[in-house]
Amino acid sequence: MGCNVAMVCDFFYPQLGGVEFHIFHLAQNLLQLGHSVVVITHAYGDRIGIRYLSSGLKVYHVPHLILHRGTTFPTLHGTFPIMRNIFIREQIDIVHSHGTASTFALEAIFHANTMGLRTVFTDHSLYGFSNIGAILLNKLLKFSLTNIDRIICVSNICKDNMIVRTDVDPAKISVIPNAVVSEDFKPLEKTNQNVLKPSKSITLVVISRLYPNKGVDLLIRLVPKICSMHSDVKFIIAGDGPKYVELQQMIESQRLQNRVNLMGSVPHEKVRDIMCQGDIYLHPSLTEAFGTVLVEAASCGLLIVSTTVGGIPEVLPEHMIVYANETSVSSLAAATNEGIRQLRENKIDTSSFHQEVSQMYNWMDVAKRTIRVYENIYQDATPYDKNWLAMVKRFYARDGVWANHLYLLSAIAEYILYIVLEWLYPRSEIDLAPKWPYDLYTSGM
Amino acid sequence: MNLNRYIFWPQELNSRSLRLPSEELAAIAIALRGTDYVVLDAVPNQLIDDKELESPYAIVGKRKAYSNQWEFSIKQTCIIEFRAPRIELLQFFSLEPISLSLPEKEYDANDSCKEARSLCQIWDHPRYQAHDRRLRQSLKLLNLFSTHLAALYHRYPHYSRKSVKTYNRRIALWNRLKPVRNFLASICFYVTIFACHLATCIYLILNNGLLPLVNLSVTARQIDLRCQQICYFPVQYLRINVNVSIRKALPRFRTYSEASANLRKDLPSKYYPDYIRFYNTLWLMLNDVSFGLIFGSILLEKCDEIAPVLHRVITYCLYHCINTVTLVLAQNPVGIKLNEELALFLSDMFLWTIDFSNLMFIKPLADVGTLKFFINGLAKMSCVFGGTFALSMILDYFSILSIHIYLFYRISSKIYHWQLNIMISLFYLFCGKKKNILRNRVDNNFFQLDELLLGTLFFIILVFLTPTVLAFYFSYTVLRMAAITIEIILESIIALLNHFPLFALLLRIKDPRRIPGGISLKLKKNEDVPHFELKNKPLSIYFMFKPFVVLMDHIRDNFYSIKTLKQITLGLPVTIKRNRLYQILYSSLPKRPIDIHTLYDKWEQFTNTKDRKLD
Amino acid sequence: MMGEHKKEPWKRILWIRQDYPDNYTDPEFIRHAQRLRYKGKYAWPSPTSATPVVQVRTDLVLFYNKLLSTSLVFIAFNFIYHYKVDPLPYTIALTVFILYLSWKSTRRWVDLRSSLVITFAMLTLSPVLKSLSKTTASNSIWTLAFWLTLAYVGSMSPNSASQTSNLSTNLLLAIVTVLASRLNSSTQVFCFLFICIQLNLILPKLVVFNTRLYALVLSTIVFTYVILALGLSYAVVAWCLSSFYIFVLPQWFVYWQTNYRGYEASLSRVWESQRPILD
Repeated sequence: MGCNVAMVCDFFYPQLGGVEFHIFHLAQNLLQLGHSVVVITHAYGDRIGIRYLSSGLKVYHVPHLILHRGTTFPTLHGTFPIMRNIFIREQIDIVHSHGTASTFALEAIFHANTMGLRTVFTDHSLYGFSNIGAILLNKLLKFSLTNIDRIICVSNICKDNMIVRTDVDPAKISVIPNAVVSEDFKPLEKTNQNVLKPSKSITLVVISRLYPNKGVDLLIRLVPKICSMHSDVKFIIAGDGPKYVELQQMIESQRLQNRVNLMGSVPHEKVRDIMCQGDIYLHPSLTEAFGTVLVEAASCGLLIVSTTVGGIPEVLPEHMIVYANETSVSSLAAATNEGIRQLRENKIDTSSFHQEVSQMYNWMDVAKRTIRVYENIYQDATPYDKNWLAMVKRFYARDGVWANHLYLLSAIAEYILYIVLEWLYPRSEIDLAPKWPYDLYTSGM
Repeated sequence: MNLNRYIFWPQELNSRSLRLPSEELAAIAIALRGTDYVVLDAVPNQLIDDKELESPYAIVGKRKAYSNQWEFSIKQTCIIEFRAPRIELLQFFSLEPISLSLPEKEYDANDSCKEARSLCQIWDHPRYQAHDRRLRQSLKLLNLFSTHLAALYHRYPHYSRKSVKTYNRRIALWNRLKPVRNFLASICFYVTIFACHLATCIYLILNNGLLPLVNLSVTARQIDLRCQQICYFPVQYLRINVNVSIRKALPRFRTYSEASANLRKDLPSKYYPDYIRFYNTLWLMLNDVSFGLIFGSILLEKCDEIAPVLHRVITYCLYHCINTVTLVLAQNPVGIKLNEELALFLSDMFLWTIDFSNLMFIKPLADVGTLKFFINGLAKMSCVFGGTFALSMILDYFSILSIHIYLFYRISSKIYHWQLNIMISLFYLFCGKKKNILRNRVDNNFFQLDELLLGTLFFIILVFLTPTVLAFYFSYTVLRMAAITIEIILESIIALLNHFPLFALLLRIKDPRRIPGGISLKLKKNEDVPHFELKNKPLSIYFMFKPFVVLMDHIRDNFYSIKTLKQITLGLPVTIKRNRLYQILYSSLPKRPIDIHTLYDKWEQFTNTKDRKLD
Repeated sequence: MMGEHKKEPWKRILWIRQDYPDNYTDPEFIRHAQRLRYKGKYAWPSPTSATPVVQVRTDLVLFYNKLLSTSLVFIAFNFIYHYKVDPLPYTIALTVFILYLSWKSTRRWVDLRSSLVITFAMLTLSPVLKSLSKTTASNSIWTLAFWLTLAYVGSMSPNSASQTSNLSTNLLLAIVTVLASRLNSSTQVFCFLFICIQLNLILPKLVVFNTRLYALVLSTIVFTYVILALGLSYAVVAWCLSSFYIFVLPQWFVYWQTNYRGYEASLSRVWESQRPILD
C-alpha cells in the first residue's frame, strides 16, 4: 500500500534551512502515514554513508565534490551509478527532488526517468530572468523537468514562476504550502509576558541570513530612522552573512548599542525564544517564495511588518500583517510606525495568532496533500510516460534548435550508460535493503 | 541466575587428565570478586572432601573414569582454554598492547583537544561504557595462575602430587658471603652515583636557560640524550629488580579477601615495559658503538681519498653554484625582465654575503688539511662514542657550512613578507575597505582622493617590483629546502640509530607471548559446550615503530606539506624546531633527569624491601 | 460537483483550504501569460516600458567623456615622448587652471596639506616609477598599455556614486607607470603623472555642472589633435563613430526596448529580487 519514496536534495541535515526542514518534516509525516522514505544527499564533512535519523528515516550521504554553499558539482551522468544502486536497493517507486539550485536533485530526476521511475519535483524559491546565473539554471531546470510527472510549488506565485520558466502543463503543478510545527513556536505564557514586559517598550525582531537579497541594505537605513522616531523601541537582529559588518558599523556610527542587539547566527532551536522576546517581526526581504519565518513569527504571537514581495501576501491573513507597499525605506518605516501604533493602542490582539496559525498550517496536512499528488500520478499514468522513445521525442520538442540537440545528446548518452550499467552491475546482484519496522518501532517504544 | 558463565581451562590439564584415565577427576576452580571461574587443577575425586573446600575454591566439573568427557556443574557455560602464562618467563596476557613509552608521554599522531573532548563525551554515555571489566579481572587472575595454584597446594597440601620444595642450600652459601657482597655493592653504588652526577652536570650545562646548546647543535643533543639515559639507568634497574624480588617472594593468600585485593595490583605488566626499555637502550648503545667502529675504520683508511673530493664538492655546491645563481638573477634570468635597479642591489648584497661567508667559513673549513683533520677526529670519536656521534658532528659541520644559505633565505623571506603584507593592506584600500584591528574585522571605508592616490601609487610600485623579489625569494627557498632535506635525512638516520626498537623486535621473534598486544579468542570445537581458545596477540610491528611513524608525519607536516607551501607563499620562515621534533623520540625517558636524592631514596627503598624479604 | 454553482471564487491565498484541487491554476494568469507570449513573438510597441531617450543619452555622454579623458593621457604622452615638448610650463598652467576651477566651484581653497603631501610623494617617487619597467622592450610596453587601457575603459562605471572599488584609479596609474618608463627624465615623469591625474581624476570631479559642454570641449581638443597628428581621414572616421554613438545609438536602443524585448523581462519584475529604494 505504502509507496517507497526517495527524497533527493543537496541541502539536508546537518545544514539547516527552510528546504532542509521541509524535507525532514515531510518525510517524518509520510513515515507516519505508512510510506517508506529515504533521503539522498551529499556527504557533509565526515558524515558519509548511511545514517538514521529519528523514526528510522534513512539518509544516504553520497560522497561528491561540493561547489558553493552546499551545492554539488554538476556532472550530469556522474551520479548515475550510485543513484541507480540506491534506487534499486530501496525499491524506490517515486523520486521526489527538492530545490532548483540543487544539482543533485535535478540529476536524480533525469536518472529516475531513465530507469522508468515516477518523479516529483518541489520548488522552494523564485528565479528571475535577468542575470546569467538564473538563465543557466532555468535552462538546466527546463531540461531536467521535461519528463517530470508532477511538480509541487510552495506558493501560487512560485507556481506562476514555474509555468513561465519551464513551460510545463499547469495541470501538473500543484501548490502545497510549507508548514510549521506550531508546538515549537508557542508564545510565552500570559503570566510570564506581564512579568517580562512591564513597560510598553516595543521590541522589533529580525531573523534572517544577512544577504543583500534579504533587504539588509533597507534594514541598515531603517533601524536608525525608527530609533530616532521612537525613544522606546528596541531591535533584535539575529543571523549572519556578508552584510553583518555593515550592520555592525551602522550600530557603532549611530551609537545604538543599547537599543540594537545584534546576535549573529543562532541555532534553530533558539529562534522561538528570540521571537518571543519581541512584539513585532520585521521582514524587509526583497524576494521570498513563501516566507516560513513569517508563519513562525505569527505563531509566536508577533505582529508582522513586511514588504509585499513574492508570495508573502498569500501566506497570512490581513489582520496579522502590516504591509509596506514598496521596497523603500520610507514605506517600511511607515508600515513599522503603523504596527507600533496598532500595538500601542491595543487595536490588535496577537494572543489569538498562535491558535489561528496552528489551524492554517501543519505538516500532516502537507503530507496528505503530497500523497494525493503521488496518487494522481498513478491515476493519470499512460504506458508511454517513461518510454525512452517518447521521452526523447519530448526532449526534442522542448526548446530552441541548439538546446534540443544538446538535450537529445545527453539523453541518449544516459540511455547508453544505463545499458552499460545494467550489464556491469546487474540488478540481480544488488541486495535489497530491509525496511525499517516503523510500526514495531512506534508500538515497541 | 548464575553470572559465572565462562570457565577458563588450562591446556596443561588436558594432557594430564589423559595421563590418568582410570581415575575420577574433579576440576577445582577459583573465582574471586568479579572474575569468572579459572580452573586450577584436576584432582582425583577420592582426595577431596566436599566440606573442606572453602569460598574462593569450588568444583566446577567432574569426569568419570575412562571417559574423556567432562561434565560441568554450571549450565550454559563456555570453556575458554588457555596456556597458563609462565610468570618467571615474563609471559602474560593483556587486553591493551603494552606501551613502550612512558605513560605520561603517551602521544598521538594527530591529537587535538577538540577530538579528545568529543571522545570524552561519548565515553560518558552509558552505551559506550566498557563491558569488559569482568574479562579484565579474569585475565589478571590468569596472569597469577601459578601463584594461585601454589596457594591452593599450600592450603590443601594433600592435593599436590609434588612435594613442596625445601630450603635451598645455595641460599645458605649466599648468606655467608654477605659482607663481601655488601662491599662490592656499595662500590658499584658510588660509581653509579658519580656517573649520574656527572651526567646531570653535563645535562644542566647543555640545557642552560641563556644559551641552550641542545637547540643549536645536533652533537650537543646527542650528548644530552646519552646523559639522560645514563641518569635514568639506575632508576630503571632498581624498578625492575624491586619487582623481580617481589615476584620471587610469591604471596600466599590466606583469605578470600586478601586474594581479591591482590588482583588490583597487576604485577607483570607494570614493570615490564621498563625492562624492555632498559635493555633496548643498552643494546642500542652497543650497536651504535659497533657501527661506529666500522664507520670509523673505513674513514681512517680512506681519509686521503675522501678529503680532496669533499673539498671540491663543498666549494662547488656551497660557493660556485650559489654565486652563479645570484649572478644570473641580476641579469634577466630566462628572459624575464626584472627591475634592474632592485635586482642589481639585491644581487650585490647577496654576492657580498657569499664572499664574506666564503672567506670566513667555507675556505678555512673546506680546506683539504682541515678536512683531513676533521675526518680523523671524526673517525676516532665514532670509534669511542658510536656512529651517531659521528653523524651528528657531520650534521653540525654541514649546518655551519650552509649558514649563508640560511641567511639568504631569511633576508629574502623577510623582504618578501613585508612586501606582501603592505600589498595586502593596500589591496583593502583598493577595494574600498579597511582592516579594523581593534575589532579584528574588515570595515567599509570611504577614502579621500589623496589617500587613494598615495595608496595606489605605492601599490603600483610594489606590484611592479614583485617579480624581482619573488625571483630571489624563490631561488633561495629552493636552496634552503635542499639544505633542509639533507639535514633531515641525516637526522632521521640518527634518530633511527638512537631509538630503534631492537630489543622489542628480537623479543617478538624469540617469544611472542612476552610482548602482548591484546588477546584473541578462537572457536576450537562446538559440541554441547563450546570450547574457545584464548591466545596472545603479539605487539604489532607498526605499534613498535609508532614513534617513528609519528616523527615522519611530523617531518612531513613541517616541511613537505600544503601547510609549508602556504607558509612559503606568505613569506613566513620555515625552520627546524629540533626540540619539538624529538619530543616524540624521548618518550622512553622522563622529562627531567632523575636527581641524586631521588635515586638515593629509591635505593633505600629497594634495600629495605630486599632485607625484609630475606628475613 | 458540476451542479454546485455556489462554489466560492478562487482566491490567491494559502491560509485557507479552498474547495479547489491543489493543481488548480488561476485562469487569469494563464490568459495573461498567453497574451505576453503572443506579444513576444509578434512585436507590439509598448512605449511605457522603455527608458526615455534623454536619460540614455546622458549616460552615454558620461561614458564618452571618460573615454575622451583617457585619450588625453595618450595625447599628453605623445607630446612629451614624440614631439619632445617640455611639459613643465603646461603642467604649471594646468595646475593653476585647476586650482582656479576648484576655487570657483567650491568657493574655498583646496586642502593645502593633502595636496602638498601628494605632490611631494609623486616628486619623490617619480624616479622610481621611471625605472620600474625600464628593462622591458618598448613593444611590450605598448602592448601592455593597450590592454591596460582596455581594462581601464571596461572598469569605468558611468555613475561615479555607485563606484565602490578603486580598480579604475589603479588601472589608470598602472597605465601611467608603464608609459612613464619610456620618458627621458624624472621631471617629465612627474609632469606626465601630474597632468594625467589632474585631467582624469580631479577635473571630472570639478566639472559636474555641464557634461555636454565638457564633452564638446574635450572632443574639440581630441579631434584637433587627431587632425594634426594623423590627418583628416582618420578624424572623419572618428567623428562619424562618435556622432553615431551619441546621436543614433540611444534612439536605436529605445526603439529595441519598445519593440523587441521578450515577454519574460516585463513579467519577471514580480519574481526578480526587488531593487531596494534607499531614500
